[in-house]
Amino acid sequence: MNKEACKKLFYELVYPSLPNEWEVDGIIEEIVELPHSLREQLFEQIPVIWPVSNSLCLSFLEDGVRVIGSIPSDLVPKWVRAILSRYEQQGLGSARGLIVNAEESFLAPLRARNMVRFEDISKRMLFYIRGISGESVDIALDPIPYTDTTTFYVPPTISVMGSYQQNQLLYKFILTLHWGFHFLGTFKICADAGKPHSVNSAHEVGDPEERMVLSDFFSALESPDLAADLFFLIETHRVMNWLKEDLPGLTNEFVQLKSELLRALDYPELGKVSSKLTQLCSFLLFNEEQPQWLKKIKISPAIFLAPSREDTVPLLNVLYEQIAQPDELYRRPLLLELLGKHDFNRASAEIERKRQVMKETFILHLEALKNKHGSSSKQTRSTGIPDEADQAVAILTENTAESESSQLRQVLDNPETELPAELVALMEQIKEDLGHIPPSYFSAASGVSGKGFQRRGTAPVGSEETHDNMEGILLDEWDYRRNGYRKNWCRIYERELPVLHSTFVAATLDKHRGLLIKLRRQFEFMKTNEHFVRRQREGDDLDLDAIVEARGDQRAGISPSSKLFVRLQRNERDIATIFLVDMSNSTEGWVGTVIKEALVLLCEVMDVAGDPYGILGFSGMRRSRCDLYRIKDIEEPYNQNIHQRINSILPREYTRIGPALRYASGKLKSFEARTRLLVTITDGKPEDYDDYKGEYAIEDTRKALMEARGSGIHTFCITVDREAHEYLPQMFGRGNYIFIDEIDKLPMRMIDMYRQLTG
Amino acid sequence: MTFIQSSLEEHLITEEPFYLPVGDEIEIGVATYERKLPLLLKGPTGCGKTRFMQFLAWRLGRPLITVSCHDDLSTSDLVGRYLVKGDETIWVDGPLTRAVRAGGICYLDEIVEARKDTTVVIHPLADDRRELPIDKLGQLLIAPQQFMLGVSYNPGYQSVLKDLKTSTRQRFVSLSFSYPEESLEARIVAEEAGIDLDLARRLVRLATMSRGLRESGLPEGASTRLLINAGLLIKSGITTRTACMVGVVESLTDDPDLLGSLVEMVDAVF
Repeated sequence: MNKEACKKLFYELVYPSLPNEWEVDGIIEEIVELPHSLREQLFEQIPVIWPVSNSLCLSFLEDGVRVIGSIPSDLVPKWVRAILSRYEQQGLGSARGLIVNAEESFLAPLRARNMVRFEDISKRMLFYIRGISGESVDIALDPIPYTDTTTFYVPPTISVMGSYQQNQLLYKFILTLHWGFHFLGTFKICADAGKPHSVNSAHEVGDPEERMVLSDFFSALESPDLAADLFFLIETHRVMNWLKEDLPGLTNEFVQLKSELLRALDYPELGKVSSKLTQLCSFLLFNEEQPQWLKKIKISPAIFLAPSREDTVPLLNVLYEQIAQPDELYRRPLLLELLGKHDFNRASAEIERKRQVMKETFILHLEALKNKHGSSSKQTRSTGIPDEADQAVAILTENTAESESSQLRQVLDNPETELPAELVALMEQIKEDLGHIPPSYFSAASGVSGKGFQRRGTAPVGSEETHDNMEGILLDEWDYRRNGYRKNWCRIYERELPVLHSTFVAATLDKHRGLLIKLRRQFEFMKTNEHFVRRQREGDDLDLDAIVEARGDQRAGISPSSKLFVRLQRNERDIATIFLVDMSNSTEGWVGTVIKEALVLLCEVMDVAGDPYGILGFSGMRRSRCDLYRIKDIEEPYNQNIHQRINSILPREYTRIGPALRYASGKLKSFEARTRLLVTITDGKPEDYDDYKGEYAIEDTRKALMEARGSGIHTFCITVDREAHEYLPQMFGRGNYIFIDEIDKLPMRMIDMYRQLTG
Repeated sequence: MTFIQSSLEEHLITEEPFYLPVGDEIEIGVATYERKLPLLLKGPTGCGKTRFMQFLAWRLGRPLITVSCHDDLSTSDLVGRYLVKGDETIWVDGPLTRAVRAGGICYLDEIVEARKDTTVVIHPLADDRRELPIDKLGQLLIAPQQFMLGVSYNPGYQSVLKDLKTSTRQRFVSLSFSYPEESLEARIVAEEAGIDLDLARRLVRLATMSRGLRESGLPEGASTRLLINAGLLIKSGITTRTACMVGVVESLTDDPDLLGSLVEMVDAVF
């Protein structure tokens, strides 16, 4: 558009006014120079401002030419509204200030208002990323976003964009991006130590010490930061390409932020290197035009259209050679600062840790499988009729460790073998991670299991500890290796807790006052769960259905029923519960505090529901001293004494859970109730000072729970832990436990769980 | 007042219901029928248990009588009762008795919702005796070859008060249902809602994400049925986002944080 056309358009917009040409000429000259889109944005506002004040409109055009570029297009109308209201309130001079200093007086305050604090949206984002990933990941704060594949780090605030929603979207995008890195295997790309320019993207398991982490590979280059950023950019492009398919909504929303994001994160005086990288960002992330220098390099377009993990490092090498300038200082573009970085050291350490956990669990499962098949094949031999499935596994028991590993393999590969669902899922996970199950896993399993081999302390040593003067109760303990009980193995002492005075209970009640009101109401409702029972011998009203039926029976010559009434039954609940609380020293710190808080809240609401319940704490050391602390007897009323006992719950010694379960279920059995419920609250694996640990402890716990269930007690476990997940289904049984990884949730989840279980 | 019982023919499924097998459940179902065994279907809500039963009934060409169990269901509601009509009394068969007499399939949906003493009535029918005593008529009905008993329940987050009695449970051939794997589920949603496969895939992706929230406090993720509902709404011209909100998200939870994260998922997927 030339100057004349522009002027003509201006006069059309302000018609019927006719400002002097000398007033307009200078302004129009500058406007003509503007890019088309910005010019349009300015002109669009003329009809809005001109009728209010001609001189304001001319100032807007005159000064606006210089600042319009820095204002996001969707904020221009808002900006103009602010200018007009400033004009109306404080006059032309002040309004001009808002035009000239748009950045400080309009955009900065707006950003502060639109700043998103992560803490405000943390839960929403946490559930979002857990849903997306299907894993129980976590989010923590760090100025530069990154992930170690289990925890995702995001900045405490984001305020780059002009609106709250957009800033929130950035959080969501950043989280998804970093999940994408993990999901698409970015952290499994490793450089080959011998050939620094080649990279091995295969699934490596070997010794992590011998593997070259990518950060070392970058360090070998002259500009490690640039190399790392190029790598980050290429991988971001790869992830975005995947997101386009998988989460198109998110990708679309993010790409819409393009112009504003690039503008907000642009800064002048970039060196050659940084500006090339910025161009590359625009091209790779926002599909902007390919920069000239890039066109000159011969890169197959497929690499950009459908990037694969194998392409990343070759592409990185090519781009690095093109961009790197030996004598120039590299400054990281702000966009990358916003999107984050890779922390290979932490990620590989975490991946290695998870692999180790998977390996251990796998070995545990294999051992169990081997023991099971071992014993079944022995039985087969004694009866002399081996069946087909057993033949496949019979060999397991009679060979040396070396050949065992290959036989273990055969057992797993044999379609006839029935594998536990957990093991199948675990094998899938390992295969997904490593591509196959490494032979070392099998040899480890065959080496540690079976006769003659001992693992992490096997037979609990029956060392005779001194008992104190109290007469304890003797209970059996299950030994999975002998497939039988150890008679009178554990000595149980039921003890009183020392009384401690503190304001803990009062403070807890005060802290959760709001929640308590809500919970009490819910439990009140549960208590007065009244309904009509029909066909009663006596009652408040006639049961018409029953009468009609009785009449019919009578006519048909059958003696009619005398149950002809309906009665309002107020509370059919007949549920007795014992809560068994872990008091081992691992609950020290705020885990213990929250468990106590949860107990206080629980007591408050249970009192409302009116169901009888007891609370027992357990801890101890060795089989000779399993202590059970009486916090509340089933029939004891809830009063000041209970407060004091909850006060004095303190972390003590070890977690020998089996005897505690047996004792508690014994107690529960002796209580008359139609439904009996045993709820265990613990924070980790069962373990004692002696050899009560590992498979032995898990199996004993499992057995104790099975015994309880066998005698008609419903068992349920609440585990507060992050790590325990793998063995939980084996120990507690699927669906019989909940797992709480955020301790704050315990009080609410515990009460919710009780309500759901008994509702 | 007259008592009109729907004729059994009305319970005959004439058109093939849409059902995509996930494994060998159809063969197992047919074999169970042929061997005169009762069938127990367990699985989360909306994963296709009832539809499977309908398909099986169609496949076997038997009428399907479905009883939705609730805690007020009495034995007479299942077996039948005398009613007074004018000057005479007439006996009206309950759904279970009708199915036994006609050699149909009786399907007790959500059996754990019924009181335990009610469900005991099916015990003699569910073992090798296959008989239904009707005390009031003084009759003992022997189920014909064509009769089949099916029950279903959701073993998910159940109250301890609503568990299936061991003595009931141990009479059945049990088929475990869960949500089909993603591509299969997408085909089911596409077919049932009449939407294109790509959209169905996205709905399934959303459901998979919501099922990942089980550890975070969502008792059950979105069922296939909810996805079909959302698909049907979309087919009627409701925007995808709104359909997902009213058809899936809002039906899953009231927790504001979970709701918020589910909305984020919807926005990310579509």
